[in-house]
Amino acid sequence: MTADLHHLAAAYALNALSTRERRAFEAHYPDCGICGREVAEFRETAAALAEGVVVEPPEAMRARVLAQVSQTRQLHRPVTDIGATRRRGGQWKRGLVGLAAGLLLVVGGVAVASRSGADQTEFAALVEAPDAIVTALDPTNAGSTDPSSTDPSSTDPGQATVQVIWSAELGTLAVLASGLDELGQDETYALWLLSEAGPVPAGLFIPSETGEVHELQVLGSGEPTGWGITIEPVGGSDAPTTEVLYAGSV
Amino acid sequence: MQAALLRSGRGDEAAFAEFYDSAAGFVYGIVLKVIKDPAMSEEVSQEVFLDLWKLAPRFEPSKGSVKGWVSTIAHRKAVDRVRSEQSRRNRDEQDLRDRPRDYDVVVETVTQRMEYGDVAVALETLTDTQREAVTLAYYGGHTYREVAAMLAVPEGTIKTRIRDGLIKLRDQFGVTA
Repeated sequence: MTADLHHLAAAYALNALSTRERRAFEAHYPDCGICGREVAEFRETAAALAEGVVVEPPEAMRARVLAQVSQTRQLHRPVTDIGATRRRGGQWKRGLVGLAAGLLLVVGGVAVASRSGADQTEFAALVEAPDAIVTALDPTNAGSTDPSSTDPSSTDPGQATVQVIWSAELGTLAVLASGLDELGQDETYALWLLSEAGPVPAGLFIPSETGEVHELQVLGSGEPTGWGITIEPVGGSDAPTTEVLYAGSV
Repeated sequence: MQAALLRSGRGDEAAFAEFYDSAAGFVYGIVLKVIKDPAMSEEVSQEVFLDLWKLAPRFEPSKGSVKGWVSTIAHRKAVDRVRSEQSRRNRDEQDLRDRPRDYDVVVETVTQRMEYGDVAVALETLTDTQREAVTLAYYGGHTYREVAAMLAVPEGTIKTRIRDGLIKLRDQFGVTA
């Protein structure tokens, strides 16, 4: 399998791999000098192919995109980023450990220090919302039940703590986690709102270097019966493309 | 495009509007190429831009060009939409029989559209079979396995054609990483 992987960079760059192969290759190429360089080169090549089919979209799309943008929170920079580290500060990172370990600490007034004031206020509002529901997500052991999985990056998911706090009234949710596996460069964790209608995307997040997550997301609507977490390609997916790693019922 | 995206990454909505204006045709064009249906392409393009906004703080110029980053996200989203629509539909005999026609359309429109410009010139340097494999995979949004099935050619052969074709294109475009 691994020997074969080296020849997939071109098909990968054209998004011409099956979901399973894509996952396997994404686990491989960031650590492979040759494949990593090829992916970068073939992506630029694919971009040139895209250049050949430029078509201007309908005028009305612009206003819709910009209206949505003004209501959508950006993902945070990875903590490894110098700017983000400065912004968040060490105190905040230490606070995270406590946050993920238990909500009571947060309610009890653990310093939700630094970062932007707006974030802090929103987070406090969510935690204190009367209708806030805290759900602990448990590992499904999806990774370990697949004997054909050769993904070297998958480690025991049992060590992670994942919680979702959700308030329907505020239309906001927070993901708090620690001990999550590191992702490949092209991957993101995705939270899914589970309901009778099936899984609905509820936000993307990427853990810090130390596997911690503290992410506020706006949730337009939806009546969750539970939450699930999968790994998806950067940009997310309309429906889960990989097995659910963590899940919990509301 | 890059300057506007970098400023967008710091939460600047006006910069994102500027980025939109420089990237809209690029994003919509490749999404439309893969999805074909204009209404669905618009919906998916909108989702792509929302993703680009969310991900803007994480764009790293040292890892590749803006266009490489944007087209990867846009194309993948389009491909994933096509595939999830496909799996929703019943993959029955009829669907399989439809594919060869689908393939003709793809290759034809690609050739028509690109009678001019660098892309067309570069594609001309490929062998017919390489060009067919690359365009079916990229513009048609098919996996290499699907391409192999459509053309009744072994999967390994298609993988090789895609790879050799892309290497040639890479050299034509003068891509360096």
